[in-house]
Amino acid sequence: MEYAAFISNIENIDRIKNDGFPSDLIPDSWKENTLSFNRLYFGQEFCEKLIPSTNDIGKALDFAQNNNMEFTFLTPFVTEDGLEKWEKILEYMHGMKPGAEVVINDMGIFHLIRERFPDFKRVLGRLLTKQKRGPRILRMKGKVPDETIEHFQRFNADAPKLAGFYKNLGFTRIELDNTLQGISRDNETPASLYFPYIYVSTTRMCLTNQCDDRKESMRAIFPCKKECRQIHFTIEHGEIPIPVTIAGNTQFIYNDRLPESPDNLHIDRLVYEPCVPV
Amino acid sequence: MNMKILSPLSKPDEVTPLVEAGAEEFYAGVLDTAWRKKYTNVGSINRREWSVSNLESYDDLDRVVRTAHKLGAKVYPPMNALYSAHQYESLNRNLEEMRKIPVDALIVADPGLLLTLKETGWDREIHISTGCTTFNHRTALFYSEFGATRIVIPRHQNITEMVRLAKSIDFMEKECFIFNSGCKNIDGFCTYHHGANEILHKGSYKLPKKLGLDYAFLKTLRRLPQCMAKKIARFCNLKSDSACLLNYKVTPHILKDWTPAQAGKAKKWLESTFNIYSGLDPCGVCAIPDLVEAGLVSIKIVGRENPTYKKVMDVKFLRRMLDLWEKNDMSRTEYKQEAKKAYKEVYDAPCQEWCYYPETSFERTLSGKDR
Repeated sequence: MEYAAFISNIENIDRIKNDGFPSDLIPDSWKENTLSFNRLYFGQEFCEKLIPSTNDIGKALDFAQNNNMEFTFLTPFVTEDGLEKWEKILEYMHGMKPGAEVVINDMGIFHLIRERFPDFKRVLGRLLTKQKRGPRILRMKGKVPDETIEHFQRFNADAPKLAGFYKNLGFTRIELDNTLQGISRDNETPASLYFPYIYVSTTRMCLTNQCDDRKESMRAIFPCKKECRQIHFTIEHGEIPIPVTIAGNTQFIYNDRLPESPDNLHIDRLVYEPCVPV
Repeated sequence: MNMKILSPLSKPDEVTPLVEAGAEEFYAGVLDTAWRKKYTNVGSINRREWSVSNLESYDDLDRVVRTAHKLGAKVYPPMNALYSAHQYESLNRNLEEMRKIPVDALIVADPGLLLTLKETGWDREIHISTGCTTFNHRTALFYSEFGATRIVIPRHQNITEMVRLAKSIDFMEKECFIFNSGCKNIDGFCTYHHGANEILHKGSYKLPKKLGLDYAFLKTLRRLPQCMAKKIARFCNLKSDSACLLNYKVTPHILKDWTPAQAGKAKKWLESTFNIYSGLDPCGVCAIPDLVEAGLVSIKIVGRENPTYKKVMDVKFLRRMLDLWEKNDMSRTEYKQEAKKAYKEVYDAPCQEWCYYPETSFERTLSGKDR
C-alpha cells in the first residue's frame, strides 16, 4: 500500500508532515509497511485559475525529495485559455521532472500530453472516472433494486471495453473517491482512493468568487481573487443526508470510513486529503 | 448554413406543433420499462432522469422520427448516460432497437458506447454530448477520433470563451444551449443523483411534474416583483429534485484574513443562490449574433419535461429572434432592444437579465462591427 498526501495549496505543506499521518482513520486491513506518507500529490483538479506558480511547484518537488516521497502532479479541466496556461506549466514540470506521474482530468490535456510530453505517466483523474457521488444514495438504499445500487457502486471507466481503451491510451492508474454507496470492481487496473473528501460537483460559475461583493442571485464568471483560499462554506438541507462543503468552485462531502479490503478493489494507493483540495 | 433550432420533445404528438413553431431538429430519449425495472429512472439510459422527460417506448420514438422526417425535421435521441459494466447487455439491447429506427444521429457521452458504435458499424451521425465537457479544441479533437460529427458545447462559458472555442473547432459542427435550465453546476462534472424524488417522494413529486405545475409555479414567480419572488422562493420549502435548487442553511468558515462582516455578506449572497428561483430559465437570445458569427449550426432548448405549450412558446420565440437577426439588416443594439421587447411580449414578464451568456455586449462586437 502506498500512502499519498494531497495538497493543492503550497501553504498547506506543513499539514502533511509525517506526524499528520491519519493512523486513527485507517483500519488495520489497510495498514502495511511503515505508516508514513511515501508520495506527495500536488496540483489542481477543479479550477484552471488556481495555477500553481513555478516557485510553488519547486517547493513541492523539494519537499517530496527531502522527505523521500514520490511525486504526482494534478491537472484540472481547462478552457482554451486554460489550455495555453497549463501547457506552459506542463512544460516547466517536464523540465523539472521528466517522466513525472500526471493526473489528467480533461481529455484535451490528455491529447496535449500524448502529443507533447509522451513520457509523463498518465493517471485517469476523478473527474474522468465518472463515479456517481451524490449523498442522496443513502436515502435510496432499500428503495431501489439491488441492480441499481450495484450500478452506482461501479463506473464507466471500469467497464471492460473502456478500461481496455484507457489502458491502450497509456493510463496506468485510475483515481477514485470513497463514495458513500461503496465501490465494486472487477477491473484490475490499479486504483488510488481519495479520502476523506469526496468531490460531488463543480462549476465555472464559482459561488465563492467575489462572494462578499455580489448582487443577489447574479450569476456569471467573474475575475478571480482566490477567495476560496480565505473562506469555505457548509450547506445543509433536510433533503440531503449529510452536510456539503463548498470550497471554491467545488462541492465536497466527507467520508472517512474506508472499505473493508483494499485488495478486493485493486486499490494499492490511499490518497489522504488533510484539507479540501482547492 | 442557417442556424437550426433544436427542440426538446417527450411525446409523439408534439412533433407537428413544434415544427410549425419553427423547430428543425429534435432530441427525445427513451426510458423503457425493462431498463427502468433494473436501474430505475435515477439510473436512466440518458441524462434526463425524470420519467416525464422521456418517451416510454421505441415505438413512440419510431413515430416521432417518421413524423419529423415527413415534415423535414431531424431527430437525435440521447443515449448519453455513463454505463457500468453490468449495463452493457441492456445497453446493447436498446442500441439494437435504436438501429431499427431511422434516427439521424445519436447523442453520446460515454467513450465506452462510442467504441461500441465504432466496432458495430453505426451508420448514422454521432453527436458528442455536453456530458463530455468539451471546454477546449483538443478535447474536440479527441472525440473526433471516434467519428463524431458534432460537439454540444457545454454551458458555463462566457460569450468570448464560447466564440473562441467554437472558432477553434473548425473540424466539427458545433451546437450550444440557448434556453432554460439554469443549473449552476457543470452537467458533465456533476455527480449528484437526479430523479431521486420520484423514488423518495413518489406521487407527491411525480404528479405536479406531470401536470406541469412546477413550470406554472416558476412562471408565477417570474411575474412577481423580484424581491417578493426571491422571498417566496427562499422561504417556501420546496423539495426540489435538483440539489442545486434546495434552500440550504449556509454556514461560512473563515480560513484567514476575512472579517465576520465579509463572511456575513458572503453567506447572504450564497443563500440567495440556493432556491427554486435561482433555477429560473435563463435565456441566451441576445447572444444569437455572436453565435451566428462563431459558426454554430444549432441552438438547443433545454426542457424535455416542460409542458407542450411551453416548448412551443420557446421555439416560436427563438424562431422569431433568429429570423429577426438573419433576415434583417439591423445593428446589434437594435437587435437587443427588439429581443427585450419580444421577451416581455411572449413571456408576459420583463427580461430579468438571467443570461446564458452574461457577457454579451452590444457595444463590443467580435468582428468590430455593430452588424
